[in-house]
Amino acid sequence: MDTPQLAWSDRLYRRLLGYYPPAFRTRFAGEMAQVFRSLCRAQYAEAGISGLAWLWLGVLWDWTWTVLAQWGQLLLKRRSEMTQTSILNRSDGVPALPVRDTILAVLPFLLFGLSTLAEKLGLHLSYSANPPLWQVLTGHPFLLFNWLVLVGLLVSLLKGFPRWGYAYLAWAILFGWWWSDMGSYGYHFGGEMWLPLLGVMVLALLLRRSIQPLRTLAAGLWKEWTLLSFAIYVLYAHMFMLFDSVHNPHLPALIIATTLGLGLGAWGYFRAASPLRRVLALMGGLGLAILISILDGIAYSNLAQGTPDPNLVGVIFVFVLSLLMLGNGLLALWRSKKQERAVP
Amino acid sequence: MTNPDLQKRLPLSPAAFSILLALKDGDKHGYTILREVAQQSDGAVKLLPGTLYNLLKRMLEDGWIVELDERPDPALDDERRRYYRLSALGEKVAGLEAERLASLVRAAQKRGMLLADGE
Repeated sequence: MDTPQLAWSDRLYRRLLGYYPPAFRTRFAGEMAQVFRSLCRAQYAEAGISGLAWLWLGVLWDWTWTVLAQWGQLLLKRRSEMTQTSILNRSDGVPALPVRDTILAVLPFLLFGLSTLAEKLGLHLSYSANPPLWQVLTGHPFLLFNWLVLVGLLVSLLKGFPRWGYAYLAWAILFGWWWSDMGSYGYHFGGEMWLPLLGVMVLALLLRRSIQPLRTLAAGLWKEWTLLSFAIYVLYAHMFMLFDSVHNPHLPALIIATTLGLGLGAWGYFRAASPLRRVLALMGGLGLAILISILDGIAYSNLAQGTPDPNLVGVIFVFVLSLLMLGNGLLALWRSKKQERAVP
Repeated sequence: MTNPDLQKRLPLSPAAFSILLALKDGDKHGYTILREVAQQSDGAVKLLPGTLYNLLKRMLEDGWIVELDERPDPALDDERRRYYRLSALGEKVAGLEAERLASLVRAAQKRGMLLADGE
């Protein structure tokens, strides 16, 4: 026959068991109540009321920390499930690039920043009034940058076109477009500026004796829809890094900061495994660039009255651009979900 | 699970190791495990229901122990009792922990920190 103290202990412990998370309670509460019951009776038989009181002291401590531990585990589990299912983390099957490859992908951004710096500060070879063409082609910082990008593109094609190759391809295409109507040291360049890019493609095909790199390139374009955002990013990255007509006394610092900011955006793009994270990284990079361009507003302070503030125009433009990128990311996400559903 | 994976789970807490040891002797329900743990440690490890089931839940999830569908003697036993059995994986973990402890004991012996019997 149970004493009132034992009956009271059982009732109280059953109540305390109600504070465990539901799943734990359903699974173990019955057993725990029974173990506690057996413990109480053994303790009471051995040491009476004082034994029971000592047991309760230990049980209250045991109950407190295990209730907290079980709720903590449950919350951590829910959080990790939420992270896995979050729209931000949903993958489109394009894995994050390893660090070494990401460095290669970001390199053209840094090289372009360096060439801008060299061009603005005059840190390049100076020529006579009419230098020969080969001197211009190899000595001008931007043209030198283009050769380096083409070398990178050639290496990537020879390696079967790993994903970092898209960074070099995007910069090479941008350069072809940009310099096909550009003059330097008395020379005017036109459509022939596309020839080096074409030459690299042909050379890679000849050396590899296979069209596999080009097939990989095309397949990657189809698989990674956010490359469209990346192409737009490269276009505007080059515009932000050029600092045309800017005479800010702190120009080198601005160029370095913009280069690093845009490089960081590109780094985030290649390191992310979900399309939304990729486009958000690019939007972040552009955001940093526009922030820096606002800081260099001092350069525009001599504009005529009534001229629209170029920074405001820039902010609106980048905002629209960011929305386009976000749309591109969402579209890539929608497509991957659709493909997932199609798999039986 | 490979040995290096299991090694990452070591050292076990005295309570967890004691539970695995208690189950090595045969299938047991909660209260018997609790008593066995207290006995084998001369009362140094005293488990209470919260800690016991916290650990049993984790071990079930990790596959170190399994819950038995049938009770050894249903006629003599309370039907609310559930019995647990040490799995092959649980035995492996317990073995690795025992080796780890043995090597510590050997190191202590070498340094004269452990008195021989009767000393």
